[in-house]
Amino acid sequence: MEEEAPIIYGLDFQARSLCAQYGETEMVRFLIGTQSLKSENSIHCVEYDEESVLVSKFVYPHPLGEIWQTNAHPNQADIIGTVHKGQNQKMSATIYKMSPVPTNGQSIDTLDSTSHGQLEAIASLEISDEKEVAKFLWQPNDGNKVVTVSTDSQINLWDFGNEGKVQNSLHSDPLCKIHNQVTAANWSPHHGTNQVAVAMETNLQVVDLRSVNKGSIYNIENAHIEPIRDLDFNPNRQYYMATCGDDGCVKFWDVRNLSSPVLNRHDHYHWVWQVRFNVFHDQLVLSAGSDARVVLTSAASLSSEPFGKLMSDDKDNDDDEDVRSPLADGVITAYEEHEDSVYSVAWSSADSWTFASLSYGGRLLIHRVPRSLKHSILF
Amino acid sequence: MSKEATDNDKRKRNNLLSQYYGITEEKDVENLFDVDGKHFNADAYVDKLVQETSLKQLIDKEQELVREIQSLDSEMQTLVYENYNKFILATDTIRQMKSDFKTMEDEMEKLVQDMSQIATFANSISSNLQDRRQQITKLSNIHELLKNLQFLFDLPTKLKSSVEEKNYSLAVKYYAKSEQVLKDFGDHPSFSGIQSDCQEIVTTLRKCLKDQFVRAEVTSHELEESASLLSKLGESSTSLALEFTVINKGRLEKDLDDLSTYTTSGENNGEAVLAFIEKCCNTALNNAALTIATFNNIFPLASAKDSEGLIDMAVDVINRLCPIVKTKVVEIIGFEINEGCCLSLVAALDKFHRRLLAVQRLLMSDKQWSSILITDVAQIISNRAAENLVVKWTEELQGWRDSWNNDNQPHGSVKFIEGALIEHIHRTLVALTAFVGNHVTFSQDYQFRQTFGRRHVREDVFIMSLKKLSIMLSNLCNATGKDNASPTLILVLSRVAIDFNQNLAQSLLSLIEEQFDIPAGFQGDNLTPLSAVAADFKQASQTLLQRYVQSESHVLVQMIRKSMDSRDWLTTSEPRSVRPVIKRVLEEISRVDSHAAQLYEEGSRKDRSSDSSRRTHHSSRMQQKSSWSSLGPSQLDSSLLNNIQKLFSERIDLSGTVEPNKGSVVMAVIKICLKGFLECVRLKTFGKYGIQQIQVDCYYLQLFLWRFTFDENLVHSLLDEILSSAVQRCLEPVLMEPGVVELICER
Repeated sequence: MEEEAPIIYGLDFQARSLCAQYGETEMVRFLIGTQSLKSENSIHCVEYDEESVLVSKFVYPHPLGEIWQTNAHPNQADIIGTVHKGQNQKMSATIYKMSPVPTNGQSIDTLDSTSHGQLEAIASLEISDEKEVAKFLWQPNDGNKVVTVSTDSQINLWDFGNEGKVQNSLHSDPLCKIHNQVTAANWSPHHGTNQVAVAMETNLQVVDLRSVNKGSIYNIENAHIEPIRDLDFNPNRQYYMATCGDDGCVKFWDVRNLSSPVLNRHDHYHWVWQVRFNVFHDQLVLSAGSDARVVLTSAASLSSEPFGKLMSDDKDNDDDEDVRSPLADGVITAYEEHEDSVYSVAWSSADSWTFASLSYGGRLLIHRVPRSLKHSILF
Repeated sequence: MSKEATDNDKRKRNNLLSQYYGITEEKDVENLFDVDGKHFNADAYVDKLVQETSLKQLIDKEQELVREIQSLDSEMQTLVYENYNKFILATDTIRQMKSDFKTMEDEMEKLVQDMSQIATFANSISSNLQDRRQQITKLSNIHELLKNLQFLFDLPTKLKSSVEEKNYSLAVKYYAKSEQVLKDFGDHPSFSGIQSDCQEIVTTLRKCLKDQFVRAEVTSHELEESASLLSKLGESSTSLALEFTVINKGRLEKDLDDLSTYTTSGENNGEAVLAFIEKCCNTALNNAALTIATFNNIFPLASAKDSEGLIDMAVDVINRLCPIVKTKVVEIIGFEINEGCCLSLVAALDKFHRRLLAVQRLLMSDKQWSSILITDVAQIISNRAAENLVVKWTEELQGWRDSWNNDNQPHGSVKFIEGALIEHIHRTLVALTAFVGNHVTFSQDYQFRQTFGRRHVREDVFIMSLKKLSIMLSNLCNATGKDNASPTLILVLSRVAIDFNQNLAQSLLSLIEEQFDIPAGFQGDNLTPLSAVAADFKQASQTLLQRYVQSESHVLVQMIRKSMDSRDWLTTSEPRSVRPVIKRVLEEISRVDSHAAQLYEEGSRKDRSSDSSRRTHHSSRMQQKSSWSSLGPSQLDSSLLNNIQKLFSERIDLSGTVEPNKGSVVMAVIKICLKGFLECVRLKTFGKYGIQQIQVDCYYLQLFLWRFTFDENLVHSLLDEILSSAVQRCLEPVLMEPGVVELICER
């Protein structure tokens, strides 16, 4: 499979958090939160222009300390939430309004590149003085709710109104009595967006926000033998999700039968820090690990796209025959251009074939999936 | 009577008496003084008495002697009287006899006269009876004839009764005896009746015989009897032969049915098989042979067409018998294949084979019944043996997995486990050698030996089971949770896999080649090359080693992670010592090192540097470290230093390829472990003392880790990275003086 050289963008700061700017649907744009104890942190907005193969950036200083998580609002391009640690060494979550932000479809180059942007804190999601925030989640579809999970596995639900008003509507008892650190959390886009999954070290619990104190809907004890670092729901198939962890494995689960994963990939040599489904082609799964590698995995057997069944029949003969065979499960490409641990990876919201990965040293790589793979999926 | 004379007289008498009674005289001088003795000397006795005894005693003795003499005298008198009386009585008797004999003589004379008279009378009588005697002879002849006639007249009744008594042979005998007569005199009116009666009875007889012939439960002896009787009665041999065939077919089919529903009761499979084969031979096979023999006996002159039907029938029976035997034998022998049952099975098969060959000779058939049967059974048994072997191995492996004691020394365990695995396959092979034993008739067939050795033992048992073993070994390490195997066991098994890869498989194959007549190193005939199996084991050992590295480093990383999480690094106090967890980690690594060293060779150093150069290298690192500590917080701006450092250190390769040598294994564990440490450090924020603690820990690790690896640079660069990451994550990065660090570490 031919590989296209990645676009490299250096940040000069350590960084852990990366996400696509979901509100922007035409430009390939990513948001990166830097993590530095000594210098001022910022949100870097990086735009990649496919035609000119140029990368532009715009920086929004982040005064509240190092950024551990960056979460863009699912619809509104100018709204962002971060989990950060400031001078008081306490993990907190804040929602900002970014300005200026180009209108949809406009390049970031239209902004004045000599100036800096501004982050206007709309809401600080403080629960109490002692509680620290472990995870911050936007409601997946319309983003009018927010969940924060505190380190003691307490779930807090916040209403986020259009006019920027934030109101705490619920907080749960800790999910787990034993002190287990919350290592990952995610919000399911299915089931009326009522389900939130929280991983505490090796155990995974999924709760219903409507009956959050009545125990979990289901849980996976020892889903991984070492702590779970991230999990993601298949955006198109409601019963499937993926988890990854320190054991170097990416596991795919059918939540209707949790006795064993439906697919277990062990393609990393060290901890896997993030796993992400492609929203449009959910057979494509990215995982990033501290072995400095990004792995593009095919989970075709679990995909919502009926590849090779409906489509290959009539086109088998007339198209080029080399890529016609159905995509098998397994590694498609392993990207080894990073020098340090890769903590974050994100698919672009504008172009389903582009993704970015971020390593600790602040190196951002923007990749495109191999063209042959794209062809084999599309045609 | 003078005393001397009496003495002499007495001696004479005594001599006579003793001669009469056969007593030889004893010359006993001592008895001179015994009054009753033979050599008594009165003078000597008296002299002795006078000399030895007192007067009073003498007197007493005299009186005593006198008394004795008197009593002896009276006794003698009585005896003399009695004898005299008897003598007189005898004289009287003799006289009486004399007169009696005289009368007897007279009577004897009279008797002689009478006897001569009787003789004359007798002569006259005999001459008178001469005529009569001839008449009597004639009469007796007539009587004989009449008796024969009587037999003829009685024949129908007799036949009838003997038929009724089922004494068929007697009936046939009678009939045969009279048949000719009846035929000759059949036209005589008085005989024709008899003849028709006889015909009638003989028809019944024939019917009876046929019935007997047809009945299923008769023995073949009876069958033979009836057949011969029938042929004596003039039955056609062709129809008889046909009927014979049909009847025997029925009987053989019953045997087959019996055999196919045969159930064993015994618990010993080997004996059960022997019993079953015994039964096969004794019933179906034996009966088939007997049928043919009987047929040949009864119909010695049977035409080819007649015997063809029979032979077809027999062939058909054997055609059906073989699959029954195969199914049954395989069923009875069960799934536990051991040496004993194999020996019994082979003995049983061999017996069957020989019997079958004998029958085959009778049939003059060239079908390969027994060789097909035996090859099939051998194949099934081989497959089962292989399955068994795999089951045994699985149990064995599960047993080790479940009862693994972490104190077990790897080296000994490898030998032990290999021994046990080899033992099982040896046992299987020994069991299978039964098939090619020297005394076994069927294994003399070259074709069989070749197929059995190559296809079944080598391919089905050896290759297949080893392939499965390699899969089992790699699967063992995939199990998680309850079935998780101890890391040490995994390491041990990786060595076991390597040993199989390097020599065990080869030596087992050589053993097989030797025992089963396969040319050494033979590759043709579509045999799987040993290298394929060896490759599987190599793969398995690789998987196991990687798994071992994962498990061991998992434990270590977990320890480090827990220790990092359990401390508040911002507010921790000034380091006074290396954290216990670091020492613990080192202990574990040294344990891994010693375990790996027991099983694997050292491995080669990446760049073999002499001791001195290592020392200089070491000191240069130290200089670099000391230069760090002199840097103030402001100069330590992370990214620049970080990036410069990155330029010089190579990218750490964490990929899981572990070479099968000690250095590589330990290095892999150390790498993953330190990388985990690094990741943990990056998740924390450190205060002044926090970073100093990390500095102490790193220095301590550096002091001790180099001895486990052949790539110090890598360890150093990882440790540097940990420290520099910690510096970056530190609010107040003031490092300790290297001297203090050294002091703490050496304490």
